[in-house]
Amino acid sequence: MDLPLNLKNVADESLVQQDGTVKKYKRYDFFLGKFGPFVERFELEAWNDGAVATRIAALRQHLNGLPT
Amino acid sequence: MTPFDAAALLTMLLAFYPVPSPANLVTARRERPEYFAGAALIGRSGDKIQLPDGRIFDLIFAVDGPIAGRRWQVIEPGPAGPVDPWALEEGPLTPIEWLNAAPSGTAGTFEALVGGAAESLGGSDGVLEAASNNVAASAESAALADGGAGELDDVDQAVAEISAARSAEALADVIGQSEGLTQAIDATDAEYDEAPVEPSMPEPSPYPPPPAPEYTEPTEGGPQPGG
Repeated sequence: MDLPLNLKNVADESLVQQDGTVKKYKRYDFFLGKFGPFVERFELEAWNDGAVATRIAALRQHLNGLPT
Repeated sequence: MTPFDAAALLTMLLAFYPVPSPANLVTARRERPEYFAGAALIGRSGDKIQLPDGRIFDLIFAVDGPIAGRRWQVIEPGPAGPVDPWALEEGPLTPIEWLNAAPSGTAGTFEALVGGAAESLGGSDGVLEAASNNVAASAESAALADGGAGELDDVDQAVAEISAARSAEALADVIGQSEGLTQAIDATDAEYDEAPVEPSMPEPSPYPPPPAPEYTEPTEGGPQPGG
């Protein structure tokens, strides 16, 4: 099944943690084919293109495994 | 609010939470709330979500079973479950008018069967009469009649012999035999006036009896009696 990435939005977010600290994230909103929206967050300290691609590939793999 | 997509939710759970459990569902709900579109976790085991529009989805298959038998799913159960082919009728109940409800069947069927069977017996009287005549006219039946008559001829003589034998027993003789029994019964029925014999008792022992064994309550952790 062809599941092209359709990136809708990339934004910076700051979320308050349970211990009161604030952590910064990169937020990705996207579709894979007709499915979505998917919303994935990456800690800014660990964010890079490879991490994004790995996570999107995992979602695409399981999406392909779903019964049609 | 992010719109709800069941496929996206299921894919996310499969990709990032490999062990299906209510605890992992809570974690996913906290870490990725957008996939749940504002749904709340519900259910006895916390394995279902209810969207703000009221729809309910079951997310864990066999949540009460072993972990090996569980899997993620997104199933929207119907409001009343599967259709019951034997569902009860909506009330209120009304009495049945049996005269109208009971099927009458095909009229005349039973009568036709009985009539046909009776018709097939037509002429049976003549058949029976002819058979009876054959039996009466046969030589075997005459022999059977003669044999029976011979047996019955001796009945009068046998009855006379039995009556004679009973007359020979005089009733007075039977009464005389029972007269001696009365005296024997009277002798046995007399008062019992003999003194009973005293029972023999064992001689007392010249030795003193042995002392009784001492017994103390067992204490916890201490030596056990007999051990």
